[in-house]
Formats: sequence, C-alpha cells, structure tokens
Amino acid sequence: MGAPAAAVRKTRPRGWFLAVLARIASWPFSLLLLLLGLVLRAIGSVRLLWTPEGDRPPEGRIRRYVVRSTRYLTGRSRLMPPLVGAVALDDDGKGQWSEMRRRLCRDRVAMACWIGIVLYLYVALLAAFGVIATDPDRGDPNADFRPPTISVVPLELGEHPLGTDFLGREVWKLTVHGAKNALWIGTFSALVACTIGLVLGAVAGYFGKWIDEIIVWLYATLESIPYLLLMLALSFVFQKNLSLRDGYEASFLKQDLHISLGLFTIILAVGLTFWVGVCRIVRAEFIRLRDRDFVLAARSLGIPTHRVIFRHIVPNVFHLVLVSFSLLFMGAIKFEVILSFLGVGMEEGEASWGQMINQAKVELMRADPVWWQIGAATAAMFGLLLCVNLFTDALRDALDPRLRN
Amino acid sequence: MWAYVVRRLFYAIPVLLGVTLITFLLFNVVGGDPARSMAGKNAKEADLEKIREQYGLDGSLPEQYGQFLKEVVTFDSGRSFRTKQRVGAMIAEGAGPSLALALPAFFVASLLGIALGLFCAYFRGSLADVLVRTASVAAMSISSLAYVILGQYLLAYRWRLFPIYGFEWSLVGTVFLVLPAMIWILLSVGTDVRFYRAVMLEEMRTDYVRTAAAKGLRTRTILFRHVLRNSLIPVITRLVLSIPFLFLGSLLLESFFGIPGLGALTVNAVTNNDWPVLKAVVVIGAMLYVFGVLVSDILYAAVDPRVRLK
Repeated sequence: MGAPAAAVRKTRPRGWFLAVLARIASWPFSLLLLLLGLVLRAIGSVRLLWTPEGDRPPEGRIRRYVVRSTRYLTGRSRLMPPLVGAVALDDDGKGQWSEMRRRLCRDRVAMACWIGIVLYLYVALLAAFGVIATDPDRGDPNADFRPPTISVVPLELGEHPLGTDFLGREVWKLTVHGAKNALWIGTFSALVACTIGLVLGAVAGYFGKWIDEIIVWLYATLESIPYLLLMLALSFVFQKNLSLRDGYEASFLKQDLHISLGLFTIILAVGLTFWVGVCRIVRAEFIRLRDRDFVLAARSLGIPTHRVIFRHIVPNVFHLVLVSFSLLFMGAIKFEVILSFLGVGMEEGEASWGQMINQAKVELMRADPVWWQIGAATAAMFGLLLCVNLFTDALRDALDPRLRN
Repeated sequence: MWAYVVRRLFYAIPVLLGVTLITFLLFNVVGGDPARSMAGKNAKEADLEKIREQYGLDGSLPEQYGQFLKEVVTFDSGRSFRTKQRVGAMIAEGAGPSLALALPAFFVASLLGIALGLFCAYFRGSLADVLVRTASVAAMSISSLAYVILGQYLLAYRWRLFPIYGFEWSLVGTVFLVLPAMIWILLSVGTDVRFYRAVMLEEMRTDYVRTAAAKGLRTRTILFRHVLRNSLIPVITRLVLSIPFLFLGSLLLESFFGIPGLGALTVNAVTNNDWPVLKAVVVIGAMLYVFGVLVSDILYAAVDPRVRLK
C-alpha cells in the first residue's frame, strides 16, 4: 500500500470539503473524549494518556485520539481536531483503520451521513442538558391537538411550530426528546449486545473445549427463540414483575440518572436478545485467529491471556463488531416503536417516537385527523435511520479488503 | 440420510431443553410471582393461594419446571388466564389465519426480493440499481408501525379501497387479507432486496461466471442456471428460517387488521398479562425454528451436490 497511498494523500480526496465539515462538526466530541480519557486515567484504567515529548504513538485507540485532541488543544498540532472513531483522517497512514478512515473520507455520502448523525447527537445532547426544548412535559390542556403553525415561505414558526398533542404539549419538543431517547436506546442496547457478544464470543473461540460448548449451547438456545418473542418475553417479564419494578424505581438509575423504566427495559431486552449474532461472528473469527503466528508469539512472550485476547486478537475482529454495532443501533430504535406499541416499552406520556406513532392509531380517526405527531416522529426517525443505514453501508465497504483500490 | 436426520433430532434435545429452561426461568423466577402479577397488587393472600393451586404454582421450583416440561412434551399447556380456554386449542386455532395471511405474502415478497436482487446485481451501478437500493434503504428507515397505521388509515379508512378490519374463512374473505399482505410485502421487500443483491453479487464476482461469459453463454443461462443455482444456499437459509415467523404471523398486522392468528394472540397475551399463552408461543416458536434449521440442512444437500449429510 505504501507508495500509491502516499500519492493519493498529496491530492485532495474527492469530497474533501465534506470531510473538513465533518471534522469541524465533531470538534466538541474530541473534547468529550478528552474528558473521558482524563476520567479513565483518574480511575487508573489507562496508564499513559499522552506523550507530549515523544513521537512514539501510544498504542490503543482511545489513547491515540486523546493524544491528538490534547495536542490540538495545547497548540502542539496545527491539524484540525480529528473525528472520533471511524472517520478521523489519519496522519500516520498505515494499517486497516487509517485505510478505512481514508476511504470513508473520500465517500461523499458517508461524510454527509456522518454530519447528519452528529447533528442528531448534538440535538440530543443539548436537549439532555436542558439547553433546547426545555420542559417537554409541560402542556396547556386548553391547547390540545393544535395543528402545526410553521410556514416555510415566509419562514415563520408561529405559536405551535409542529402542533400540540393530546395534553397540549409541543410536538417539536417531544420529537427532540424522542430523538434523545432513541439515541440512548440505540447506543446502549447496541453497547450491551456488543459487549456481551464480544466477551462471550472471544472466550468461547479462544479457549474452546467445554467453555465453547456451554456458550454455543447458550446462544443456540437463545437463537432458536424467534427474536421478537424473546425480546417481548424479556420486557414483559421485567415490566410486569411488581417487585422488580419497585426496586428499579428506587435504584440510582432512576433516582439519579433519570432513566425511565421503559427506556431501561428496552435497552435490556434488545441487548440481551441480540448479543447472539455478535457472539457467533466473534467466536468464528477467534477460532480462525487463535492459532496464528502473532498470537503464538504473544503467548510465548508470556503475555497474560486476557491481554492476548483483548489487546492482540480483539483489535483484529473489532471491525466486525463495529458493523454489528451500527446494525443493532438501527434495530433497537425500530424495536422501541414495536415494544412501546405492545405496552412493554416506553410508557404513555413519555417523549418517545414509538409513543408518538402509536398515538396516531386513535388520533387519525378523529374528525380532524391529527397527522402531525406521527408525521414528525416518522420524519425524525427516517432522517436518523437513513443516515445510519447509509453510513453503515459505507463503513462495510470501507472495511472490505476485497474492495481496496 | 435418515441416520443424519435422527442424529440431528437428538442434537435438538439440549437446545429445546434450554429453551424450556430459559422460558421457565424468565416467567416463573425473574417474572416474580405469576399469581400476584395476575391478581394485581392488592390481592388477598387467600385469592393468591387459590390461583396458585389452580395453575399448579404451589409446588417447589423444580416441581414446577417438571410440570412445565410435561406440558411441553404432551403439547398441553394448561389454560389461559384470561379466556380460560386450553392454550393448545387457542394456538391450533390461530395457526390457520396466520398462515392464510403469511403464506401468500411471504411467497410474493420472496419472489419479488429474489428477482429484484438478481436484477440489481446484474445491472449493478446502473441507474435502476441505484434507484432500487435507495428505495429499499428509504423503506427500511421508516418504522413498521408507521406503515401499518398509515396504510390502514389512508387505503382503508380514508379512500375506502379495502375493508378496514376483519377475517373470514371463505373466498370472499380474501379481500380482508389483501391490504395486510400488501403491507407485509412492502415491509419485507426492502431488506430482502439488499440481502439477495449482496448474495448474487458475491456469486457474480466468481471466476466460473467470468468463464461462462467468456465462452459465450447467453446472459439468461448464466443468470438462471449458474448464478441463481449457486446462490441457493444462503437463499434457502433465509427462506426456511423465516418459517417460524410465518406461523407466528405478524404481531402488528394481525392485531391491526383483526386477523385472529397467532400474532394477535401474542399481542393479546401481552396486554392481558396472560403468561401461559406467551410461554407456549415462545416454546412453539423455538420448536419451529429448530425444525426449520434441520429442514434447511437437508435442503442444502438437495440443491448442492457438494454437501454430504453424514
């Protein structure tokens, strides 16, 4: 890859302005990541955070990003702050990850979608910190079911830009908070599923023997229950158990973090249902890799097993997990709607796209059909899922070694 | 081959035992006291005792599990909490309407998906391919609930092209199934096309296809005799593994269009707290899935002479 890659980097790749825009858009994320790095360092799970003196790049993904953001913030680098994760333009230019990033940055659709995703994240963060769309739950009972007053030409918002719902709450605020909840659900259920799948798959594939058999039995069993039913059963059981319910209401998740029962149930149900696919992929890949020379070399150097697994093999399977993550992210957001409809997801009155779509079932049958709730929720969901969908496709292509050059 | 089938059926036993164990743990242990969740928060102790006795919940947990296993093996899952009917009878009754909706819809959707997939893979990169792919991505980005609600509202309620709601076992009754079947097809074609396109594309990049083209075979022969046949394995996997979903029907479509199938049964069980029904549906779904995997393995050998069943 050496010489041609260098030649490519001299000319600006196609769609470079989008790449630059995407970098600017994700600047605050670098800050967040820096904070995360500092926290990790404070609790001692990361030993070396940055090496301001040397050029030796520290190993590991998070560290590397933290280093670059720090250099930027301290004026040591004239580079724009890098994108978090997938699409940072790499400056050392070797290895599959920088190759992937370079290919993604050349993909205009992927960059546009990344900007879209980042915008959703900003809206969600601003709503979560109470900067925009404050008090979504406050409604005026005398102003229920007001139609949207927004007009494009001339641009006017009016009193209720996207109308109001049955409690007189502003639909635009509900949509924004629904986006926040959807991102929570997508991120955390994918995180739960990927973590369980990665750890169990790695353990099963690496150790083999009886550990493998138990884990294979476990996922074969879970897999044979149709996923919709398993998810339904999990959330049903969790929501209908009165003592679990009370226990959750009193726990710190509810009291301090204000994660509603519905949100938690969905994350749990989707996470515990879909780790199976990740586990299967990771296990197969581990079986393929565990007898390779680099693993044998690491083991013969006396590197502890957990380190061999997580530092030497996991980076080689991580691209598969990344694609699964974004697929699960989309899946979780769609399943939220179905679970909420079935009454085992978000509760009525909570700001969620599922509830907004669900209410249309009754509200469309009124004399003046209330279409703005289902419209706003569907449009918001469409935008997010379309961006994630296209970005996942581009990611998969960028990771596919057969499509190189 | 029969030896293979019998051996595979033996392999299925630990998996099915696992399914019953997980279902049992979920509903009888994690789910808390079923009697209490049935009777409500403020039920008297005497009522709870009565319910426990009635549904065999008064034994110890291993005893209850043994009873549950017995129910599964004898296909007799006790009675529903809500309707007091036998669960087995309810499920047998529901399978028919579910299949009446699912089979035609699934058939059309799969054919359409495979045809469009082959088409897009052959014309890859062309305008038609881009359009079909864009449409399928766009279609996948909308919630299925929105499709069902908007489809029913616009086509049936507003424009009165189809009946809104209902089911009937007769030729006339098929009008009730047209709209839900159309929505089903719309919902599944998007993902299907993408999947089949990827499969066919994989196959079209192989050497033997290039050879076939180089020696001057007709496009039609290459596509249908070579590419389609060789990509049958992933296609069969996908088709056969959808079988449990056909029996279970579509939760959303059935409950919205008043089709008294297993999907509607499941939805009612969830809303009514009717866990014997839910438990039975989960176990039956798993059995169908295990069966589906077996069938697809046998079919592999039928379509691909390289696969030997040992």
